[in-house]
Amino acid sequence: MNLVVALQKEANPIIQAYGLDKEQGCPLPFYFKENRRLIISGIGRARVSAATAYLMGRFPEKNQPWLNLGIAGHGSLNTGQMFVAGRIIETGSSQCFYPPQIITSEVPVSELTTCGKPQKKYQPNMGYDMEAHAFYQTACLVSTRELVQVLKVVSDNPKQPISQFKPEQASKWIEAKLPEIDHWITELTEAALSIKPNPEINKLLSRITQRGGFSTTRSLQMGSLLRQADALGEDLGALEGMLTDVGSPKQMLAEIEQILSNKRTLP
Amino acid sequence: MINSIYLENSIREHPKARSILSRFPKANVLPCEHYKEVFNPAGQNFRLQKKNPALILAKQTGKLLHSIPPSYGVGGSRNFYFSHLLNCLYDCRYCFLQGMYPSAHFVHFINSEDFMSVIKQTTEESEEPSWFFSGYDCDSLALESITGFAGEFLPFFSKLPNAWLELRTKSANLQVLENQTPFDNVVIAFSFTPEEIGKQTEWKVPPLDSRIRAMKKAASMGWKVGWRIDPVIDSTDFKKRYEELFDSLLCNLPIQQLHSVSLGAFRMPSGFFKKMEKTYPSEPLFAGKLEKRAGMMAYEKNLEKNRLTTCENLLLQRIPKELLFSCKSPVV
Repeated sequence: MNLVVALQKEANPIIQAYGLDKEQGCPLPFYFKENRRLIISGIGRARVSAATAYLMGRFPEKNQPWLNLGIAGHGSLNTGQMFVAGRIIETGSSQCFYPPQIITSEVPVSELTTCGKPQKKYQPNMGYDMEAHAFYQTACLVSTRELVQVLKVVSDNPKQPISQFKPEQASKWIEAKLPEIDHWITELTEAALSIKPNPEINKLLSRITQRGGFSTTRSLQMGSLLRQADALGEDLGALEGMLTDVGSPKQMLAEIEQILSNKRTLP
Repeated sequence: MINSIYLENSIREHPKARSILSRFPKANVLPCEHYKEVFNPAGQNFRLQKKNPALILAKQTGKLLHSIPPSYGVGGSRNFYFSHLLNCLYDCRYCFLQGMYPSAHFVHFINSEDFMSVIKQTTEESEEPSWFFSGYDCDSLALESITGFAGEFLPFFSKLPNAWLELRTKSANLQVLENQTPFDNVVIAFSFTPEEIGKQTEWKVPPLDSRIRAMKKAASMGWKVGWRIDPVIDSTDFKKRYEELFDSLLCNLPIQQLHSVSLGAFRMPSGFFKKMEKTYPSEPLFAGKLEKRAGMMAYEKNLEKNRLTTCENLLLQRIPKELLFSCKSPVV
């Protein structure tokens, strides 16, 4: 799970709740524990794009869950209320994103406009932030759209405009929403795991092709056969064992094809 | 069941859109300019979306009627399909929709008046009966409670005797048929696979026995019924399983109430197949005895021929030849 947060005050409750450790020497404040990572981007589209790209570069695995979390203005919701962005637009841009909502949750889904500066005018049913659009655009380069989500807690609205906002409130509002935030993190993480290919296939492919003699085509054929073997319930370890004494790539492919041939019919 | 609804701005005030929205007071409703903004972007995962698909309410402004592939008809010479809905409530692993569409969201086109207009016009263009197939891009009846499709189109077709409507379905809920007096130019076409194969490939689909009961009930009400044995899926005990299926169908339907049976092998464009394989890498069906022929993925030629011939022979032992139609794959 990659969390991208604009401000330290927004991030503190998350850092504490998950016991994240700060990594020294990073260009941006970066916290982590096991597979949970949090980066503090700073405000605005350029900063959030850079922070997201930084995480993408360091952790290039595809289809990880990504969450942009922070505070936002809103035209209708109360301060302290959380929403998930279901439609993200940006002032001055025609590009519009619709993060598919696969997580069952009580959190309302709202439109969100990413602006270049804080908004003082509010439209009904519209949220306002300064990062989500750029975050979504960037994170979707490496992850499927369902796994990239934007959660915002309302910091200002027509009744309590941004001029009355006190930054220290950000931590309190985020902290109050930790159970819901945790639900999202858990669900997105599980969703990502559910579509993750069996990592053993690529490891085995790598071991087999390292034996040498594999052209690009033969490597692709071997990868395809190993995936099929896995789908057909073949024990990959046992399969590797059977190939120990088989010589050329061509013979290995033929051997696996032979092993699978009797299993390709649905039971 | 529906948590998110996207609504095209141009149909915000359409009575049908308002009626559907009123049935989902708790759903989150989001505006969009065109359904393709939500449905078409690359980088979506069909499998993840299938867990919780959204409903998109849209107006079909593109082509409303399409010709069906040659040999896919059931006796007519003028054959068209139309889609009031894209995507399906059910989750059949062999279904080409999961390879064809970038999204699993349901897109419901609410401008039934435009579909009806073009159907009427097309029908009147010829004295030959025109056939209209409604279940190519969706299940015709599975989302009836939301779309009200059959409730609207059955009365329309009842007044259009030279036009035939095929409702193709795996639904066991046929309440909409009970609310309408049966008439001749409609076929309720039920898709079937043997139970053991269905259990491995058809998710969220009503059990076979309840669908057979639904078929029996539809026939007893006076509707014409069809069997759609498409796709034929290879499995162990193939002949026995299909034989049992056909016997079971015939036990529950007097032959005189059977309009047609169509038979087609598992096949799809290789691009769709590639996407499906990537979406479900652990699916044994996709590791079957398949091969690519002329841009299509299908069972190996001899196997396909054997399985289709087996089914054809089993069927011809039970039904008159003129009721059987083979959906010939373009695969050579």
